[in-house]
Amino acid sequence: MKSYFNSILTLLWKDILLELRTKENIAPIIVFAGLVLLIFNFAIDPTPVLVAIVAPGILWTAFTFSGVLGMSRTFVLEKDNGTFEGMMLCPVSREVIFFGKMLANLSFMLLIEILIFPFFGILFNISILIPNLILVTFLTTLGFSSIGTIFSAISVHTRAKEIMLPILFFPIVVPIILAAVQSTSLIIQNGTQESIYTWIQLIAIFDIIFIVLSAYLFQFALEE
Amino acid sequence: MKNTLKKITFENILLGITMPIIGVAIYMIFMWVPTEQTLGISQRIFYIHVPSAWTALLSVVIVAIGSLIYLINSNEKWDSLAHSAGEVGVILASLTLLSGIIWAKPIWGVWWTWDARLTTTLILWFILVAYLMLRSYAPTGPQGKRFGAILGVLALIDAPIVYYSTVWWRTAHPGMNIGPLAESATLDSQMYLALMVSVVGFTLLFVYILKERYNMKQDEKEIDKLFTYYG
Amino acid sequence: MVKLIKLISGCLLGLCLVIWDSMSSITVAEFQVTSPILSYDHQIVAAAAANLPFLYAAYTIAWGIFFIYIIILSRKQKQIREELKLLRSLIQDKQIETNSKCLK
Repeated sequence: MKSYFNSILTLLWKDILLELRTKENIAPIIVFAGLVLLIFNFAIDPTPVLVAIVAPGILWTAFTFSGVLGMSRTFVLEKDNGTFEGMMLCPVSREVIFFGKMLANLSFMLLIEILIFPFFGILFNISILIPNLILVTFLTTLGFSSIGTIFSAISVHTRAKEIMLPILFFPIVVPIILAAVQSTSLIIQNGTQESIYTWIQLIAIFDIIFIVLSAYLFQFALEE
Repeated sequence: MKNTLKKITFENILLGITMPIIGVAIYMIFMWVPTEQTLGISQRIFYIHVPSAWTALLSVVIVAIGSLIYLINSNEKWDSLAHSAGEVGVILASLTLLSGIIWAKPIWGVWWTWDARLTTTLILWFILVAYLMLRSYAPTGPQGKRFGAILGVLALIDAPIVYYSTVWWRTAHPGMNIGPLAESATLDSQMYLALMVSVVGFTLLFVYILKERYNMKQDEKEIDKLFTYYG
Repeated sequence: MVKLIKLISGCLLGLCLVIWDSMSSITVAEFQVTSPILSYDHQIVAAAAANLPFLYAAYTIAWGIFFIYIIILSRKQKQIREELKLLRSLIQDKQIETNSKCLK
């Protein structure tokens, strides 16, 4: 059991080390997320009344788009450098590779979100240090990273490469985007704990189902 | 190379059963069923909207089952079935959406409403289109088939979650809560019969088209095999 | 076999289009005939008739989609059949050739 977790952490550390050394993924994506927030501000031009209604949608659009960009990059590096075969030769089960990659995607997305949240709070005059909001963000990002890992492993082998990931990804994660936007909206507007909890439950159920499924199906995505 | 109208094959028998039922259904829809009082004559679109929605959902299920069995035993028959069902499913989902839109306009006055069923059908349409795109953009051979199979399985698991999340969403923002099927609760017995005949005929037609497409896929595979084996 | 479906759906499509043309003129006539103070029956007929274009649009699109898909399918099927036939005859010729070579 310990070696299982050690292998996962080793794979996670490999990806983090790679990113720390090259810095070619995170920085542009953070800037991209900030720009999405900016563009939406001009596109919608929210009055103070409108802000509470549109802000959650804008936030989660920025996170979704930047998340998709970030996740497709992780497997592109593997494909270009030919390290897919090296990964598959490791004496570990395929789920370990999946969880390692998923945790790497999760940490990258969480880093992006931590850096973007203050920007969002300032631009839209919204308080962000709310436990419920942090929980919603964490759970949604978990769901994103599980679906994103398996689909980016698939899409990197297709002719359309990175363009394929959003096409596969968006229809499947619609429930958690919906739940995240609704719960963020309720949190910002100080809704009842019960109503927020319903949405959080939906995200949690989605995460459990799809993490298990993706871990099982990942072996088929990796086979030659 | 197999199928002419004279031979007694499964497809021909199916065709022989389907055509009369569809003929009866069309007679019932246009002549026999009484016109609904409040909704008028455009309510008859209901008799083609419901069967196409039902068969679209059925094709998503067939894609998922075929994909799952293919992943388990790598028998390419099941992959052909899944791919054929995906193609026919896109067409049926498009038909459902279009008939739903055309029905919505005179009844509700708007082209689109974020009703739970319509939204789920739209998302399923996108998923099926993504499935077909993945199959055509993925590398040829078993790897591409496996990729499609993964998406097929994930799609079916996702469908009920999408449906229930949209239902909760709509109850939070009450708007057009009456879906097209809500009227089936108060259906006249004649209308119910016409609907059932229509559903049966449509489903049989769906099975027939699916079988023909499946046969074609198997023929394509045979051509590929002959090419690779004999150069 | 697909030809039969093609035939029937073509007829239905044609029927829809013909009826649409003829009925839309009758619909216009209905409206012209009714007086400003309508009786209940006329109101129902007028309401029912007003939605006719939508009904015909839906059914025309439905049969149109099926018709087009079946045409595409049958064309592909023809192509596949011809290719298979050609391949099989080529293979047979090749096998006869190799057999006669072996005998020599």
